[in-house]
Amino acid sequence: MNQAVKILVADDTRLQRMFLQEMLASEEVEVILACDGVEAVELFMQKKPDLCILDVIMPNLDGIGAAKKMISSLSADEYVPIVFITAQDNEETLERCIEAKADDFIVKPFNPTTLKAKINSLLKFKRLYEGQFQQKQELLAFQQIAEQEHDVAASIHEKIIHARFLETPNVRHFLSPMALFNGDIFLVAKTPGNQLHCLLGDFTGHGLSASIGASPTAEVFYGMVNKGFTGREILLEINKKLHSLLPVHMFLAATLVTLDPDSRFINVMACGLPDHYLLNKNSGKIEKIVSKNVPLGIVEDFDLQEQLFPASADDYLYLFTDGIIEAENKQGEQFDFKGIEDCLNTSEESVFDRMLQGQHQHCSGSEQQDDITLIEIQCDSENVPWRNLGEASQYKEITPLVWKSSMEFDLKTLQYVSPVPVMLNSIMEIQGLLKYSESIFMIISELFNNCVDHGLLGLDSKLKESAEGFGQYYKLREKRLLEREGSVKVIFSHLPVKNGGRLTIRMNDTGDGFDFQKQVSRFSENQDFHGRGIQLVNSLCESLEYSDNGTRVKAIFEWPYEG
Amino acid sequence: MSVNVELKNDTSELSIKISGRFDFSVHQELRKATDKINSAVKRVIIDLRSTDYVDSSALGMLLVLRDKIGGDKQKVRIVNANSEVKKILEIASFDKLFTVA
Repeated sequence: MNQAVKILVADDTRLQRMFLQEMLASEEVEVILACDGVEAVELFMQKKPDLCILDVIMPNLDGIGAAKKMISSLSADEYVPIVFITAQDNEETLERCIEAKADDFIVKPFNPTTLKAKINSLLKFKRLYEGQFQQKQELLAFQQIAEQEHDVAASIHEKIIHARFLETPNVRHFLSPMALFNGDIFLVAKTPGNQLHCLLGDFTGHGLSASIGASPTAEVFYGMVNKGFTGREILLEINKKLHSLLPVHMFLAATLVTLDPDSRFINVMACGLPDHYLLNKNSGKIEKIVSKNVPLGIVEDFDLQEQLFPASADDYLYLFTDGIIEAENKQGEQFDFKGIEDCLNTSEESVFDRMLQGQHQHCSGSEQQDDITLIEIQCDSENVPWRNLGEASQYKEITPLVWKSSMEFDLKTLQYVSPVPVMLNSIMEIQGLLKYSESIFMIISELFNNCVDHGLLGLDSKLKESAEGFGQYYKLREKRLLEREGSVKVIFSHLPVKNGGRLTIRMNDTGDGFDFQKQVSRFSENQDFHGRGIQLVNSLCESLEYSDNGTRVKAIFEWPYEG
Repeated sequence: MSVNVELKNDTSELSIKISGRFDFSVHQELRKATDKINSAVKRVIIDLRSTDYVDSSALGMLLVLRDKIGGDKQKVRIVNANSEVKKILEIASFDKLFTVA
């Protein structure tokens, strides 16, 4: 049973009060009586009635004055209907009643049934009002919670993205907060071998669900880049991870760009993002790069298509997610690929600024959608502006120890694993040479690749001099990797020497050998890019020797230790 | 926006026609359609003749349909997409996951 309804009746005529009490009082209705306006206001404050019936003319304070006081004491969530009783059926009185915010009035003498009907409908209205008010409050509370969660999601998302982000002057990026919240991510890091990896991604879905996927993606990306894995391996690993993690309808449209200072090529692995543009500022030539792969997280494994382009300081790559293209102006027209292409064709110094500005102008006046992600990568593989960037390692090196470790890799194995990061990590684990990881990575990867490419697969690095040749080289490499047999043995040995440690790296392969003079020892006179790698290795090592017709190589790397 | 769902050819073929914008707003109806897929349904035809826009949540819904029928490219056909919609399907390489005609 609900609490009894309380009705306040104020009338200076005793008979009238008695009559109303008799008529209204029941098990469900408690009647509170007042004999003038002052008492009515006092009882109103004390008893909190649900409805008031006020006589217009009363001594001390009339009904209209009392009603005004009562209404002004109510808070926004309270509503108490007021019915006036009057003997005067004139316009002026009725108008005064309305002005005092009367909900209804009834003229004496009145019909009890009419009054009861009015009271019932007003009480119903009161409950409706209060119910709605409560719902509104609840909705407001939900909205606040949602906004809070929105903020939390955006901040987590941003932290994930920025935590290990490598700021380098050749990469400019603009991600609006809304774009972040909509699941756009952008990650940049470099490998120990100075390859620069940039990953732009756009998760389906919004808010929390989108930021959940960002965390494992960033984890895999930064972890694998630091260990020196290739873009291909990183992307396929992220795909596998997301496939096992995300529900069927969610995926990550993404592109991984790898800038390789050794080959001076840029490798674009595009998986479901809108077209990218590669602009050569010198010639004005624009190359459109179209996605050739399914977005990440949909299938467990796929045949990843890579796209290679020569990279110089004049080459600028533009990446964006669909927000910028779909941005609408007041007329509902989208900025579209055409808006982007117009910006590329201007002679403006900064195409990046032009694009942001163009997009902003396009949308001015329309409701701010604020969902913009735009990336510019200057493919400067000559000056390598990111070479000396990144945090100095906090890692403490271990006193030089005596140890030896060897590994052997079969050609068949190389189809499945990337041995260089594995070898590098084992050295880091044992000796903690993180400070020298770039140099050691460079030495191991260069020597190992020579063993495989020249020694076992008989490839001629001359092929890599032209753009088509570069592609051909890798096709041939893939083909021979399947056809040929052989293995490479790698032996690492470490000894303490005066003031430090000496790491000796020996490799020998089962191939027929190769003209190492021709392939790798164009040290000084030759500046073409395939010769550079070995030249660098030579400068990093105490000594570097090839023997047995190029099937054996021994490199000695020394490092100082102060103890 | 409307979704028209029909079972054809002795209930072995589920035909789904989406008019207007194919985005999150049709998600309820598409879920109902996906629930109709049982072992008797051998093929799903998605008719995009009257669809003028698809977004990434639509692509997600298509993936759910594909998953429900066993992930077989041959079993889900996307037909009659206009050039703009086709472009979006192409960017996502959905022709590798669905039969796009």
